[in-house]
Amino acid sequence: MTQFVVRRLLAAIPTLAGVALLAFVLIHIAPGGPVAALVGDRATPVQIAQVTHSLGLDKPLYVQFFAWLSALAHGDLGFSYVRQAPVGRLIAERLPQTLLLMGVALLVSVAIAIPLGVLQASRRRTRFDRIASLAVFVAWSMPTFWFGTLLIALFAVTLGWFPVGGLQTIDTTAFDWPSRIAHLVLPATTLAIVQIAGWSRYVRGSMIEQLREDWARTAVAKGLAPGPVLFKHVLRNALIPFITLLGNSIPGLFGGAVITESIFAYPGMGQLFWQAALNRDYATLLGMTVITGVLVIAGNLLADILYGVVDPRVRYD
Amino acid sequence: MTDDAPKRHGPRLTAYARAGIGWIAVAIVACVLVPLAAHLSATNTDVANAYAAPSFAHWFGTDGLGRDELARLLVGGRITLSVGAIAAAVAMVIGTVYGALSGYYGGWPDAVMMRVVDVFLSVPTLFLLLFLAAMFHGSLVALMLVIGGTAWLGPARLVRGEVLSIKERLYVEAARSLGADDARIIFLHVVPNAAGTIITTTTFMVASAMLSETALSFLGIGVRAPTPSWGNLLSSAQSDLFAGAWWLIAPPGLAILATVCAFNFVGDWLREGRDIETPA
Amino acid sequence: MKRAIAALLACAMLTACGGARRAETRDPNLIVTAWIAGPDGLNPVTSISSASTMVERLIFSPLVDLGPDMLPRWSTSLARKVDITDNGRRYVIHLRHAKWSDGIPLDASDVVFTIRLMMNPDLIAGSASDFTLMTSLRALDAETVEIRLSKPSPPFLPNSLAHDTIPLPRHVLGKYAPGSKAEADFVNTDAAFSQNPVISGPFRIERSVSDAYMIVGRNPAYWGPPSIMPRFAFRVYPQQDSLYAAVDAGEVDVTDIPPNLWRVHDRLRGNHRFVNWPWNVTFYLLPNFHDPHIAFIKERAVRQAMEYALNRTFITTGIMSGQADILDGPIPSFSPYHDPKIRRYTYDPAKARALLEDAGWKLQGSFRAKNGVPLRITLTTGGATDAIASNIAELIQENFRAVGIDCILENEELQTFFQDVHDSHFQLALRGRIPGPYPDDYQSFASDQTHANGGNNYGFYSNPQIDAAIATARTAPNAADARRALDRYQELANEDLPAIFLYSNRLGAVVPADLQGLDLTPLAPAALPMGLQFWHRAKKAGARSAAQ
Repeated sequence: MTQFVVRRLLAAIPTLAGVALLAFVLIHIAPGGPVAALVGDRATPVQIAQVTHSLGLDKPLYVQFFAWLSALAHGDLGFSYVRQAPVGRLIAERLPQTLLLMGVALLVSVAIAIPLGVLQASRRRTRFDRIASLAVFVAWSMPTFWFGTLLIALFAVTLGWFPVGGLQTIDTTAFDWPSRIAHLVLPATTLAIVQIAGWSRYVRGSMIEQLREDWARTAVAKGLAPGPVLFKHVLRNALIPFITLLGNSIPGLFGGAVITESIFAYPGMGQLFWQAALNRDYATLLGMTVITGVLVIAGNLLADILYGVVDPRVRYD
Repeated sequence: MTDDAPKRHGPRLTAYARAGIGWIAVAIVACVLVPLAAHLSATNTDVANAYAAPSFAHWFGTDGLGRDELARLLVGGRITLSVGAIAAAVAMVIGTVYGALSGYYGGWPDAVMMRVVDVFLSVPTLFLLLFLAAMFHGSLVALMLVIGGTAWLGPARLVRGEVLSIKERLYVEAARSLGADDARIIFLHVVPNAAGTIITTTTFMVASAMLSETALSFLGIGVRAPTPSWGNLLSSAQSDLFAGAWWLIAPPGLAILATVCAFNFVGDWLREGRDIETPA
Repeated sequence: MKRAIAALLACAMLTACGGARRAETRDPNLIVTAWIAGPDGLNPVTSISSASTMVERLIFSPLVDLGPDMLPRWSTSLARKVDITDNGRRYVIHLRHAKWSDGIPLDASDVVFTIRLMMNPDLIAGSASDFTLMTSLRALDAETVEIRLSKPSPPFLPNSLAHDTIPLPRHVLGKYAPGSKAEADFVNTDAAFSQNPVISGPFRIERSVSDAYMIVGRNPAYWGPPSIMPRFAFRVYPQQDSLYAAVDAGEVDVTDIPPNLWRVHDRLRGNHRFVNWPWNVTFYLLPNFHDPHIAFIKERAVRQAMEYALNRTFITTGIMSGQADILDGPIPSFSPYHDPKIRRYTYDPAKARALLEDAGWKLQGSFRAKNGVPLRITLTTGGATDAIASNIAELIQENFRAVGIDCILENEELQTFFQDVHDSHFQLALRGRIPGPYPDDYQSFASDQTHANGGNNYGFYSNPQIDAAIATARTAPNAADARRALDRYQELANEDLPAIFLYSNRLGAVVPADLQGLDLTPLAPAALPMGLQFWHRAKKAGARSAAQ
């Protein structure tokens, strides 16, 4: 087991280096630069050249890359001139909010997708299965922003059950749970609907496959009632690959969802990245890519370990 | 538990799959042929008639500049469908070749290639997509390349997985012992056996590429005016939800929903069909 | 199993609904204003976003405040008065007694420090204030600042001193030698001051969460009368449609209503009234006079034909839903310096066609050509994320095509567009600009003010008569001469068309029906009503009659 973990950890290092390189290359090959956004429309070329020099953007790319890497090694994620704040602070403000939103959406999706998939599998080809499938497909095919706006129009404006946007009530800076939950319902629902669709489909398919396995059929043929005991074993086997699927959603957990955050005025990582991209805020873009890269790699590592714990066959590959 | 009777020859077309295929056919015909036949113009402005409700002259009403909404919907459909199809094709071609090569050769080339995929996957796709789409000029080709270029990672892994298992089968050894060179083996023998996965994945890819186009157009970095697409028709009509101009928001929204749904139905049916055919 | 799930869902819903009722309880006396984007730092010399500028005007006292008529308003300025002598070359600024929020007195040395700081070449600043004519700057005593100029300059007070100068605390920011790189580096990266500045204005920041909300309250150290209402809240809603929904749902009281929503603003629920006022932003089509593919743009007849070809009435009343006024000449109609006698280019496609025909541009198929050169032009805009700008561009394209000008549209993302304009990489650019309160188009249209020389004449326009008119208007020694020079400039510019003028914006906003005291100024930084220190709710009619 230890060997497994150590091997995975060592494998993560080149990946991390690759992420840093990728981020840097991407951001610097893009047209337009941060200077225009900083100095505004009325700046003269002299000013622009001055600022370019101040920011060190006229140095050769490899020099800039190593300067950035060495700052990174010292824990310095850089300074965002556009937002007048250290990048580390910006990320520290947004990451918890994104984790909260995406985490809630994930939990809700899993809590609904698994039972739904199982129910559909056990009632395959019945009317329930057909109607549930239709609902799932429709949910899967809806553009997020359309769905989000419809939710706002119905639940926030017409019915007034939930607020339109924000993190929580502005009456207090303290963490106000009921208010937080109320503000999370609509955005989490918007995010969860699509996830539920995809996952319930997967669970359904996986369950059906497991139920068709020889050992399951034999157990039924031998008279074992298709009850909770058999279900438990089938479910366990069906869910093991589900962990991989969950692993695929780890990047989203840290990256947030731009459109949903934007519609529901929820200041998270997605919004921060989008604004930074529009303003060509290099420092923030680089910092965010590296931090999310680190978190994703760590998350995948945990998922791998979990998978190894749950399915012993994996460990000996 | 119900009985599945896996001894069918070929999968049965479900009602959903039939509806899906039917709708896709209708959409393609309508978007490609109707504008040519009916002299509908997506560009003629008629400012006196802006925001007109549906009538005999304009079946789906007019938009903010007096243009015929039906025409814009059909031309937009052409754009969205082609962006979806070509982006999916780009993703599948890159993904298949990459995954096939990686899976076939194995060893350290495989390790390196999969490491590269890991690097890309460690960056949230949204970041990559937003970033690339915002940075590069808004031609349709660039958009197709950007969407395809960020979507090939999943297919690459899938194809690699398939190739790994196919590789072990006897006939590959047989072909090799007969002296066939690698490229022939990969592309004439190995990949076709993964055809099922490839076709299914492509279908789902088209659906997701269309949704990506919609999302990017909403953010303003997808298909850009004046070219209509279902994505940008829907997003520019958003504010009309509050204004009551339902004829501008319902058609593109429903069109996207129905078409993406149709592709998902077909993809799902293909996947189920394969499961029935593949030995457990 | 099913019942358990149902029960769980019911519980969740009840909690949520109860929570929802509580989620937005707020002080009904607290006026909530909405922004599309929040402030990005509160140092006036380094911040960029319009929300930043708006908050800075609340927490800092400007040297010279401008009223809604764009002329100095001394009652809200740090300067009691400004004496202009020596034929417009000597300014003596008399300051009030004022204090910074940390108790230190605000005096002439702060003003001198700030102006020197604004001129630091290494500062990553958004403003491009013009202090180049300044020959001396000194504090005569603690309450008096003297500035001498090499030439008289009518734009100096309204544009540089008034519009852009907000005195900053020397005792906090003046740690390094004035004008040095060290000073610039320090100010550029001083996050502490940017997030939590030492202030001088009527308000201070009580609490804020970045990109979510901000609450401002009375600043006890303010030199002037305290704000009528004790505090105000600001909330950020990045999506326009959600913002509108928030007003509808009662979450937001004051917000700007953009043109596409102005069309249906009367459908909003609740007790609102709507205000509409001119905004000092003008839009025009900027031609590139150096592009050899469109050499025809140098013909005045072609430019005038383009002006006649455009249905600017539909742009202002249709696409912009009345949130714009047609712009004739470079100076917008609400400006005190606008000359009403200049020619109006009313929408007349027939006249446009006639002008083109007479100039030798004959129709060949759908479009015109002359001597084998097609009349074809590419219109570049930065409106990829802006439906209104896209619509306007499409209309312009249609209007041009209708008179035989082949127009190709290139709709770019904003930053890319700015880059292309700066590099003069365009043929015709749909651009907006914010003129100063005193119209001074030197940087925009003077022939030596190309980008390479430090100006904004991206189109390489060159006309010696206009150069002379601009120069006269910039150095007029008194108001009467300035007025005459500006009239002459407008007449020339309206005839020779250095740009195809389109429209000047208006702003629309929704406010609570009983809210009074709004400052509806064309210089509103964030497209919102200003003058928060004067806002108050009108007393109810019943109470008033009882008092009588």
